[in-house]
Amino acid sequence: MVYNYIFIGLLILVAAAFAAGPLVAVALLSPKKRSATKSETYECGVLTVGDSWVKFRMQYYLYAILFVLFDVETVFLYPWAVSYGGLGFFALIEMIIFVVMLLVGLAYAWARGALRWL
Amino acid sequence: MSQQIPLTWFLYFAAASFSIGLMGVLMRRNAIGVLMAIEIMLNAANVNFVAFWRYGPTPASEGPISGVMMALFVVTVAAAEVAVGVGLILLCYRRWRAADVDELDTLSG
Amino acid sequence: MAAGFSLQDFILFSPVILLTGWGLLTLILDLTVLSRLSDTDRNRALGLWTIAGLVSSVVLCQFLAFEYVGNVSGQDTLIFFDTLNGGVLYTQFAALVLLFAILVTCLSMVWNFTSHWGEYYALLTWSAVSMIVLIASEDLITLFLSLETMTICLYLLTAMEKSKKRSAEAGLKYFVYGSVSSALFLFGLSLVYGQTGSTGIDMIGQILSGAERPGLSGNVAGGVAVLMIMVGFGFKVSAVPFHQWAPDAYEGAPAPVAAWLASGSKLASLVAMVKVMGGALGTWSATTSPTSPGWVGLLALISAATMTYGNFAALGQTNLKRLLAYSSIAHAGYMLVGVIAVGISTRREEAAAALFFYLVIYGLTTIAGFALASWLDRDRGTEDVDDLNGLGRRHPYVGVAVCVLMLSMIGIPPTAGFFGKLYMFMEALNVGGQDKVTMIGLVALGLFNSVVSAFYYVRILKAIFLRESDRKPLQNMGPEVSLPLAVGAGLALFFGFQPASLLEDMEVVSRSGLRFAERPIASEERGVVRTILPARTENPEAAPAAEAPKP
Repeated sequence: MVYNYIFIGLLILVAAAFAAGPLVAVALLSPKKRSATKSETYECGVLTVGDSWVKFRMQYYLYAILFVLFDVETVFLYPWAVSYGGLGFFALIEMIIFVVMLLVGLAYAWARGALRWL
Repeated sequence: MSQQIPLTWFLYFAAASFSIGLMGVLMRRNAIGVLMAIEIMLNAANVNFVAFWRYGPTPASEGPISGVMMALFVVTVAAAEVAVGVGLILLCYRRWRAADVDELDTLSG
Repeated sequence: MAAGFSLQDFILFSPVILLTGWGLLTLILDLTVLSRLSDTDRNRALGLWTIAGLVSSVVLCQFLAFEYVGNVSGQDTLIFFDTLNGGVLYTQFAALVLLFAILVTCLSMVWNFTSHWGEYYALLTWSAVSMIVLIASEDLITLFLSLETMTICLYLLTAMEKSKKRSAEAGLKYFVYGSVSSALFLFGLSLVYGQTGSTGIDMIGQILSGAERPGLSGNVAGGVAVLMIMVGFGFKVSAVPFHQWAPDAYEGAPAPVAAWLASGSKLASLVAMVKVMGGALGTWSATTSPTSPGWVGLLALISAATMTYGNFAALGQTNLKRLLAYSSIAHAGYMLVGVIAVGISTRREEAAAALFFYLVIYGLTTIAGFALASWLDRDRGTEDVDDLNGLGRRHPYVGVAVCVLMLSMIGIPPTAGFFGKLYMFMEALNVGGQDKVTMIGLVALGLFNSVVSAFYYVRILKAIFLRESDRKPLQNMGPEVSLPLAVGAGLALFFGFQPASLLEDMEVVSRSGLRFAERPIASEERGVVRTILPARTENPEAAPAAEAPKP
């Protein structure tokens, strides 16, 4: 029992070393020349504007919420799909009704303009 | 003899995360934070349901699976609750900002 | 009790299915056919459309009651894998909830408090649907699901008033309190599930009463579960430690929604509470010895605090909606006395019937009270008690109707409110055993509180009949206001003269619809402590899937 956990512990150690190793190596080995250009987010390319801690529009939550709602509804599709063979035709009709209801919801959100990109 | 994690560990975990959620609800000022804390509480109850189902008096393989069913439904209820919560927060946010604008209007008029 | 379902289950539940679809159609109609109309026209069209749906559902319900339910002598049949009641309890209460919904829809057509009429009526329809399912549910899963659907719809309805900032605030406040309490409730349910291994309400009752040592003594998990479930229900019926949302939500919500919160939601939650506390957890009710407390003592405390606080806080209110909110808190306190009586009385069915009688009358009179508030809202935009000044001279019929309502709410004889209190308190006094003293105390407190409540109800009557109006006169109220007012006052008077007809009906409902497990003789301390779940975890057959992998 405990024996099993040794492997997990080993795995954690190896993973940590794998992640930390290059960082440590870079810190020890690489030459260090600091300048203003080097500390920018993108050293070459478009100049960044403003702080990275910007406030998002509250509107974006709408997209997130719509996504979460429709995403979570699939929780009912999985058990249905897994045991589909034993359920028969009636379950198919039920699931079609369920999905149609979801579709009406989506159509409603669309018609209300919740999907418009601002 | 298979060894497994005892039920009580799950119950401790569920109780602890439930308490964390409750503290979050009581301490957080931010409405979104309160929403997250409520989610934690609901999911703590879910852990309980699934754990009780797994170790329940009727064997998990053949008995009624009401614990898991409950967990499934709670997941969707939680999603709906978050959606409504965010909607209400948005509404309040809009009303308050609009109120400020109204005040500016009355001053200029 | 054969588990499973057939086509007949769907036929029995067709009123509910019809209404669900009707709500969807309401949304679609609003977005397509009616989208060009003005707010007022859309309100009128969708309101009539919703009333049509509700009425056809009532008709369907009554048809089913005659055609399928029929025999009133036996126990109600359970449908859909024994998760829902498909008998007298379901058809009667569905018709009642739909009647409340029709009255609330009438009130919604009074004035334009929002522009989202499609959403408003759809949510109203769906909340009515979930109230019916909540009342019919015989399983913790359907119970929790419908409870949540109901409150989620109500959160949104509360925040619907567009012109007032406080409406959105009320909605958010209601939401935060509501969702926290439902999380607590769910955790409590999970502990009950853990102790019994079942989510069927009747099953839980049987398992608990068959336990080797029934009662709550020494059962910490059970105690915690009872506490948490009590928090959940306490919030839903606005009992005192969990009542803070109620005055704000009632004041902030549009008056029709406040009426709906006070009538439909309270009716459904209290019926569910009777089922869970009386049916499933009935074994844990009574105080059997000092070391074995039941939930009765706790609920008695809550009930006493609720009625006293509600009445005394109502004394100082000037806003009519807020006053009605505190009055509804006080009534919740009286009704909890009825719930306790169901828990410990030997005449549980009769006690439940008395409680249901009270609930029906309370719901009708409250909707009528809020009809008055929505009238004021339409014509003045405020709803102070002072706005009612001089109403009796200008509109004498309204004065008489309000007089009947207030007398019924206080509980004065020719009205139904009197009989509601009488039946319920008589059932409470019928309780024997250790808790008799508690019940006598509660009833005495209830009577004292009724006297206190007279002061603020009479204040409304004083404003209507004795004071002169100094504000601009109200216009004629129109059928949308007068219908709920007339129905409320008329039925309060009718059942005041014919209380037996309603009471007998409710007795039929509770006899055939409620299932109480046999209560064991509680004072006996038998045998060993029941092995609770942790002891079973070592059983390898119970959990074959989690075998440790071979090293």
